[in-house]
Amino acid sequence: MGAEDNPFAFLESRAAIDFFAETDFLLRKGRHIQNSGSDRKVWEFIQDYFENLEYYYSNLYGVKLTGNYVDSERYFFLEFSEESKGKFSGQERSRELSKLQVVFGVLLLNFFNDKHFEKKLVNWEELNYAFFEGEHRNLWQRILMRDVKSNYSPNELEEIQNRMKTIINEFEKIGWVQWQNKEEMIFEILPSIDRLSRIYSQEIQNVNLMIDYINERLS
Amino acid sequence: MQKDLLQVLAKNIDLVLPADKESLLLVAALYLKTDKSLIPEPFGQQDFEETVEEVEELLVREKGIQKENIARKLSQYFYTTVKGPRPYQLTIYAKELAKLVIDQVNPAIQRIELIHTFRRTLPLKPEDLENAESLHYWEENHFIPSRKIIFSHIEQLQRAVDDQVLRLREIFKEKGANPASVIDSFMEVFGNLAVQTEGIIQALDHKMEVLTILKQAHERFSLKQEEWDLYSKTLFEVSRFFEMVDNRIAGINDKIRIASARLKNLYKTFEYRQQYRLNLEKFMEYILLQFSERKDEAEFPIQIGNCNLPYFSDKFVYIPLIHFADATGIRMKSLSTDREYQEIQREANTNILLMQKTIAKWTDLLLDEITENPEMNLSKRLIEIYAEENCVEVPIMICSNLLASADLNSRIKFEISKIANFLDKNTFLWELKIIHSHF
Repeated sequence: MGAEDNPFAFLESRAAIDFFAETDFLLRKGRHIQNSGSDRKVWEFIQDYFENLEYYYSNLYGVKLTGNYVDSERYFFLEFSEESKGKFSGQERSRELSKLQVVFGVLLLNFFNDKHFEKKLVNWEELNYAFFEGEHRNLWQRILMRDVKSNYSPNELEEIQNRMKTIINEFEKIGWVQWQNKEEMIFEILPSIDRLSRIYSQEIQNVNLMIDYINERLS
Repeated sequence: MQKDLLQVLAKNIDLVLPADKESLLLVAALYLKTDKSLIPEPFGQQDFEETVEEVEELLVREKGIQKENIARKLSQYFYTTVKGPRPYQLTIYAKELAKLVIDQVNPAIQRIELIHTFRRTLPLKPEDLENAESLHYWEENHFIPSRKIIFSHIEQLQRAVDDQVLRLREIFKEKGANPASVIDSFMEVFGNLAVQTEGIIQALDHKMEVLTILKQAHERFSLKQEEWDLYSKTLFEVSRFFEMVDNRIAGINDKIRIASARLKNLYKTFEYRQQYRLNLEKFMEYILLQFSERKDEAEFPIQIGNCNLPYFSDKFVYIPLIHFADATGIRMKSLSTDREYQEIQREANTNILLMQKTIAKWTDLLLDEITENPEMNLSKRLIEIYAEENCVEVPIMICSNLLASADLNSRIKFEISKIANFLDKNTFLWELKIIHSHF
């Protein structure tokens, strides 16, 4: 830590005066901060004062400021410890991603990994393909429309699109995606989507074992 | 002496070196053609002019090359004239220069393994070590000329390895390439490097062989001092040369090793990514399958935990300062006032307050009196109060307050009993008794 006597002395720095408030708002909203776009200055501030901020959030909020790397790019976020949510306990202060959001996030993770050498742009055509023509189309249709049909009405399709837009808006708030063109439903998946893969890393790495175990328990 | 030479060079440099790329390319083209017997040597005017035209095409020049001009530039050092129908012949200097330049860029040279150059230029047979003369011959005619060739080959090899490593970086940066084709490209590059690596290893072995053979022959040259001196000097030169070769090859080896490690890592990464990709898809399929059909919100199996994120989006609430005139833009009507009514109301309210004050005063007084004298006759007292205040409402409200206070004061209780037939059967009298307990 910078000032040995007062670990909060960094709050008096010029950088803190300029960027701490914005940083705090974003982190406490659950946003993943990356070195790009509108978060660049905030990212630099966190990068420079990481230890101080880490202490700040741990001491005062009981949550952990974490920085993960994805292909040598670092992103920051707040996360709960295994034991508690710190001062974020309570329904008004934290929320869970919905199951549909998690599944959609995993779909985006798949896209992200597929586009290994290219920009991680996704458009409605790709989503459309996944939902209506891809290998798991029946499963997606059952989730999104509660019914598997060969044709959906324009209203139903619009409903799906709107649901997706809502989820993408939420993901943009937490810094997992960035809209490129909302009208045409084009968005970029950001590296911090990696967070989802880390949270479920055990399940993904051991998916076969997990499936066997669960099936055994159910039989 | 050195300075003089440099001065001479400075004076003649425009003539000694090809003046431009057209000249150099022409010399190289003429050399290649004569070397491969595409044109006779010496060659004629037509051969010369045709070659100039070929160089024009190669360089895609808008303006043609002035044949007389270029012939004049090359006439001093690059060709000589001879008698006969074909009067032009390239000088030895022109041929050597052309060969040097061509070898620098000849990809075929880069593909030749170093071992071939070693074997071709530095063979050491037992008969080369028979005596001092044969050793001296080998040194002058094989070893010394071969040094230049071997170093040149090593330099080209260095360049080739650098090019391949650069190619690796470019492959990695290619957008839109799928992993399989990237790996194929990598493997192709590494195929080339592997061949060269093998050549280097064999060259090093050959080098060790030559040195060993040379060292083993020391007894043959130990009889005479001058033979021994020749042998020692040759051995020293060969050892020193091989040391320099070792140093240069070590650098190339390092680059190949680093590139190889990079490829290995990349391959492992691709392998891991591929497996991860498969796992991820399977994971997605599994959780898609697990969605419950009964409820709106899907259920995950208990083994898959929930994804909790800190989320605090409460907005700071503030009270607005509304400028009403600005807000509505409507003028308020002035309200009319009934002063007489207001006065009556004010007087009535005042009377009510006075009444309440009186009632409160009497209530407190009575409570004190009850406390002091539990046997007090409440009826008589209330009548006295009525007489004094001349208002029946006062004693009634006092009574009501006393009843209410019983709830608050556990020492005071009231008993209500009915006195029947007070006046007639339709009229009843209720008696209220206060019971005050000191305990």
